[in-house]
Amino acid sequence: MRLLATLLLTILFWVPAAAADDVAELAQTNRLLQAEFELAKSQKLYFIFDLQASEILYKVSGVTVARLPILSLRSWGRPADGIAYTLAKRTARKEPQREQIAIPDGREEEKPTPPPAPPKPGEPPKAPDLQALEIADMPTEYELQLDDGTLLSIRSTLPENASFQEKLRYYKDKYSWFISRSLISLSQHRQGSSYNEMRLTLPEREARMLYWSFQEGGRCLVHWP
Amino acid sequence: MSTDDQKHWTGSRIVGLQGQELPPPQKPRRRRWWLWVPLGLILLALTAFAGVVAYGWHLGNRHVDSQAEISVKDDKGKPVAPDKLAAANDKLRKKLAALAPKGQYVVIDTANNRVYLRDGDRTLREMVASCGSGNVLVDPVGGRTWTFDTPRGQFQVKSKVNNPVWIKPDWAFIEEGEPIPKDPRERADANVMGDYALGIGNGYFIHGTLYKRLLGRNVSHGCVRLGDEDLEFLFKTAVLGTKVIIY
Repeated sequence: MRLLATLLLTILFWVPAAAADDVAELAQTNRLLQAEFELAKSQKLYFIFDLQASEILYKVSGVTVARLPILSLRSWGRPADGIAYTLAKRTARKEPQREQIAIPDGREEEKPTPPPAPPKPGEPPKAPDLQALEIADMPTEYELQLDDGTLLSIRSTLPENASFQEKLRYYKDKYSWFISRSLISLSQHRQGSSYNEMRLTLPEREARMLYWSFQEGGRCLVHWP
Repeated sequence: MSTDDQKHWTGSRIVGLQGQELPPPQKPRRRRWWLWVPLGLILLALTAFAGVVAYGWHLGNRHVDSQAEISVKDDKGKPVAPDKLAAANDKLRKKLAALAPKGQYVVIDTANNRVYLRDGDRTLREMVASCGSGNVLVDPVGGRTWTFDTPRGQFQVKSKVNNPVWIKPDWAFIEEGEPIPKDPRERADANVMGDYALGIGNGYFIHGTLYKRLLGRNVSHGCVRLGDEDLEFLFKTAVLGTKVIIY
């Protein structure tokens, strides 16, 4: 008898709570779809950071043209759902630089370029370095600041041949996260604002791809888990 | 050790009245209470710091749960019922799907130098291309500047040309350090664009190349270069009006 009463009580409390979750999820989806529809109508490229499915989608007119996997996610605070954001600023420790084409004078004799050094045994042959801005020139660590101040920190996995300094920076960055974000939150609170940050770890090439494609003025949506 | 030495040593010990040996007197212990002061201060500082961090953490995460309270309200300000919400979501999904390109369309990935022919979510063919180099050219005389990027966004096939002739723009002469010709006929070059070209607007084309070994690299002046077979396939498949999405 007591068991039956417990079961009844559990069902009584559990069912409305589950229904409320469903409504919240439906409402969240509705806001996202409305925001996406507005972006899709523009016929321009937009991005969806789908943190529920751990992927970044490149979309045009509602069609997914590319998807990048998110290896891990850390978030601090939470920006509003169902709003189309604009990328306000993109910063990297080492920004890629465009090269200016040197115009041949005509009077100068062309100097023959030395042939590339043969690769060391066991080392994969490198693609010849061209005077061009290519994906390999893109950074793997950078910050994307959205128009509401939300920060998307993009990181890539630590490469196997990382230097000691790179490893040190990686682990310092990883383990000081909570302390540094708490202090920033406190400082922002004193100024009357909140601090929202998402740190996404992507595979190296995908991190470079996102930098290549997501340019200032680009639009995006964030789908929270 | 000699017997005399032992006597001398024995004489230095303290002996009781009845001849028994007494332990040496201990020096009074100095209380080092002041050592606790910095230790206490450090503990206090650490506790305060932990408190600050905990408060900061609270500030940073207090809005997380409140997002679950999201609701959609109707015109009268009342929350919309779940069944109506689900129906509205289905309707929005259909409206989104209706915006998608109809039939086959072309997707160009400038980062990886790839061209895809797609139909809906299916990729029908993947092609290796050469997209814009991203380099900058400055005219030393007029100061004009060109950036050789492939444009991004949504375009469509606006023209299809057999045996295209490249009408060289000013930058092509400046880049080579040659004078810009006054006679337009001197701008024509019939040997560089391959057998076919598909125009996507603003002077940009998908065309062939003489530099096939550089396919897969960013070396063009903004146009999209393809190998002969891929170019022929695309030329024969894409009709005028085919959507071209470049990212």
